[in-house]
Amino acid sequence: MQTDNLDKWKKELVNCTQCGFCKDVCPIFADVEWDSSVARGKMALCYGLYSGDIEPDESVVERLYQCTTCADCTRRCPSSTDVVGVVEAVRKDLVASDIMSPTHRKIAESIATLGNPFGEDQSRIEIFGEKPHKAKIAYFTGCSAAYRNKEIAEAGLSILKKLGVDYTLLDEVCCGSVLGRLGFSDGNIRRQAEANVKAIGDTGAEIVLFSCAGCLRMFRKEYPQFMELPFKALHFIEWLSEQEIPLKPYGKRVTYHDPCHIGRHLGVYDAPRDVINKIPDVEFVEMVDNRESARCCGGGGGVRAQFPEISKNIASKRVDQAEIADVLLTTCPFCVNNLALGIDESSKLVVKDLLELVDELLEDG
Amino acid sequence: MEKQIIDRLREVVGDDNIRTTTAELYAYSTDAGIHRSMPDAVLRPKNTEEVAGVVKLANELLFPVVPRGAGTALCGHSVPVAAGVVMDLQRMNAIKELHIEDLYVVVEPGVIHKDLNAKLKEYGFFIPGPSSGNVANIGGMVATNASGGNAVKYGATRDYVLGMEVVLPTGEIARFGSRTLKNSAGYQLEKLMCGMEGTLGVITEVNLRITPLPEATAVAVAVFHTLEDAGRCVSNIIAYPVIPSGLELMSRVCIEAVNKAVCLGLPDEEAILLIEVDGSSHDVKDQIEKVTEICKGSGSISVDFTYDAERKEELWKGRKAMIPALSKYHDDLVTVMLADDMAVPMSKVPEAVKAFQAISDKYDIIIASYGHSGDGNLHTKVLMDPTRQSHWDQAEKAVSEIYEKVMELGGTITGEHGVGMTKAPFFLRERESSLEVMKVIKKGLDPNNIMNPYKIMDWEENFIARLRYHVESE
Ligand SMILES: Cc1cc2nc3c(=O)[nH]c(=O)nc-3n(C[C@H](O)[C@H](O)[C@H](O)COP(=O)(O)OP(=O)(O)OC[C@H]3O[C@@H](n4cnc5c(N)ncnc54)[C@H](O)[C@@H]3O)c2cc1C
Ligand code: SF4
Ligand code: SF4
Repeated sequence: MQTDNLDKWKKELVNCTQCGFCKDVCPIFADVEWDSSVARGKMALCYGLYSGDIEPDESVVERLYQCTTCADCTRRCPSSTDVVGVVEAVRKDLVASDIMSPTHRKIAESIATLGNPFGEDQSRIEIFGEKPHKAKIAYFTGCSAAYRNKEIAEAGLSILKKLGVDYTLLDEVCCGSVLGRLGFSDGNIRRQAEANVKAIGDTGAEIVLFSCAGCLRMFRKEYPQFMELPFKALHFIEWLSEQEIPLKPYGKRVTYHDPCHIGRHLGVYDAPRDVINKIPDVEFVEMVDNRESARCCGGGGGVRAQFPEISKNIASKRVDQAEIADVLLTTCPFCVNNLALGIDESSKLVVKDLLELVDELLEDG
Repeated sequence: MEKQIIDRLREVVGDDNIRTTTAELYAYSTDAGIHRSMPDAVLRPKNTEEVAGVVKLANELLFPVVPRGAGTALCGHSVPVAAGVVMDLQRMNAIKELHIEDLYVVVEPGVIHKDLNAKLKEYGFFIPGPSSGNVANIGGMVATNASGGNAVKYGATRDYVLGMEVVLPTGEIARFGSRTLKNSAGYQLEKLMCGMEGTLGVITEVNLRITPLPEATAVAVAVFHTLEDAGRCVSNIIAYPVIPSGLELMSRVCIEAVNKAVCLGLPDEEAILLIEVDGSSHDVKDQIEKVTEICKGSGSISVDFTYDAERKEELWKGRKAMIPALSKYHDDLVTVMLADDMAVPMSKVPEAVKAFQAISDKYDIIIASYGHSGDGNLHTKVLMDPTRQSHWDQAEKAVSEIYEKVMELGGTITGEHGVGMTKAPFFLRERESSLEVMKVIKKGLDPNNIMNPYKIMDWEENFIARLRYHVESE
């Protein structure tokens, strides 16, 4: 196998002292339990591939794809080893060496041909029935909220309308997050970036709002590596936290799950809490693990598509922490979806995107 | 390993708990140290019977068994140097009995130190442990006689072991020690198991004494212009006597590294002491006054105590993060686990630290010195590029000189981490007159040499042999 990408990560590969502190947090290890599954194990396997000690057989490749890219290991790691960087690099080498699962190949093909990972042939314009036009604010719905959790995109649109904002939707394609997480080359991601940046450019938008944590991470962290962005990328909730929003009271106890991709990856922790605190009568409680140390929902990094059982078990653990509340709020359709899977039949807990709750409580006009 | 053996092992632990895949063999080929060697299989037994079944088979068919907890040992302890099976005990993680009123608990070896303390905290008790206690297992702590920064006051793991169940190398299940706090019944075999590093059997259950959580704690940072002043201060505190629950020395390299990695804003000086005192509120107040006075009299530039829980946690976090934080010190260098936990008589701490610094300068290699100096335990960490032969050459010379100096000062080359492979060559010299007895014990209990073979007194190679890194000659 080629190791061109791993070769660039030599310092991180030896920087991992194999201390094992990541066992304390890695959600995959908590479920799989074998030492190869924890961040330390993955770092060891990457070193093995880099040095030629081992070959990428099925057992190795399986482990390397059992990472949600939650980055909790890096937070816990005393030497801040960038495990996600290394895992994504090794995945790039695997893909470049034509080692990939049929599921992942299908996802990449669907993104290249249809612009979304789900094999859906309707475009965003067809789905929402709104054509892009010149506007200062654009809303990038992302694939999940367009094809799977449409209620979230609809909540976003409804909020913009209620607030009387002159906004536009976009002729967008998949942001490429899933390609990056799975190891597809920068060329593939650049293609998505170029299409999206052009679509935004055509509307002249100065601010682009996102309701998906994964998409926002792409626009904030990865696209700028390819090109300068002539607009500001904000999470919808970051933008809302700075707006006057007249909300009806909500007499329930709520908690908030920080999605890894806007939390640990982008450092957005205050905005969602600020928005929740704008709600009259709401009782906000934090889960045991919150903000920087929030546990992962289990859905990211391609784990959900390839290892649904693991994903669900991780979600159950996170949902258990949320049982202190009536409503578990978050700010990413992917997390909403995965956390919902973790809810036990006997539980009364409801999972919602914060956008949905804001829409529900927002006075019209 | 032959397929028939694997099949028989499979019968003992079940299909789901045996692996011979590349991923598992490679992941279990190292611990947190510098060595690597691949096992033939990894097993995860769930109870004493399964452990005994595996060991019996090993003793009959003559393959090595290497017990393993969290795999955080630092000297190649759980590296299977002669292949065979690695026995991962993390599934045996039940806290079986709590006898708070009798001051002991009964636990399985795979219980994580942090989890046990979380349980004990509900009752106002704890057991001290290593700075890796967030992941280290009780079995591993007992087998290495681990201890932490509070050892000066609370002692090491051994001091908490009352009794245990052990699967001996021949597969018999034995019980050593008792459930009582006192016990003078013959040989203290339960204590012999402390520090045996998996060479004398597999610990499958432990009776541990517990101790009350102190009512109050306070932590101070005392800053010094020179390392000697800091070292002298340590001796002065202990001799006063004040027995702090933590007394940590950090030298300049460590201060810089921790500041860089965890942004604690520690003062930019040659040495600082992190001093923790605990006890009743009254006691703590009294100790703070005494320690402040002693620090000032020993040349401390400043000494600043805090009761604030968050600040205390932050300071300890910095100390706990020290070993790996040093990796961030230099762009091309990382920390490597070499010569890391020597202990000298307390009064020799300043001399030892001075000597380590001179050795560091002589070989032009960055060596960070820090330690639980309240009990004479000094850590040094070598910063190097472990893929370059020239760095290993320099490190080898420097570390050898450090060990020589420690022995000259009447110290030991390992105060807490144990021997494994990395320390063995110097251990053989330090304990020359004990080796025969150790060999007799090993031979008597493990006639076929199946339990974690070729470790401690049986390691015959160099201390930087079987490296886990690929090293390039320049
Ligand atoms: C960052 C870091 C900081 C550390 N700080 C400290 C410290 O402050 N103090 C300290 O003392 N150590 C420290 N250590 C070393 C190590 O964490 C301790 O020795 C710890 O007790 C090992 O526990 P473990 O479960 O990881 O054991 P392992 O590494 O899995 O095993 C250690 C040894 O014990 C044997 N063993 C394990 N379980 C059993 C069993 N049930 N029966 C028989 N043999 C068994 C193994 O064969 C091996 O020889 C540190 C390590 C790291 C990486
Ligand atoms: S990734 Fe970090 S925490 Fe995990 S073993 Fe490596 S150095 Fe330790
Ligand atoms: S990113 Fe998350 S899942 Fe991946 S190794 Fe780190 S802690 Fe585990």
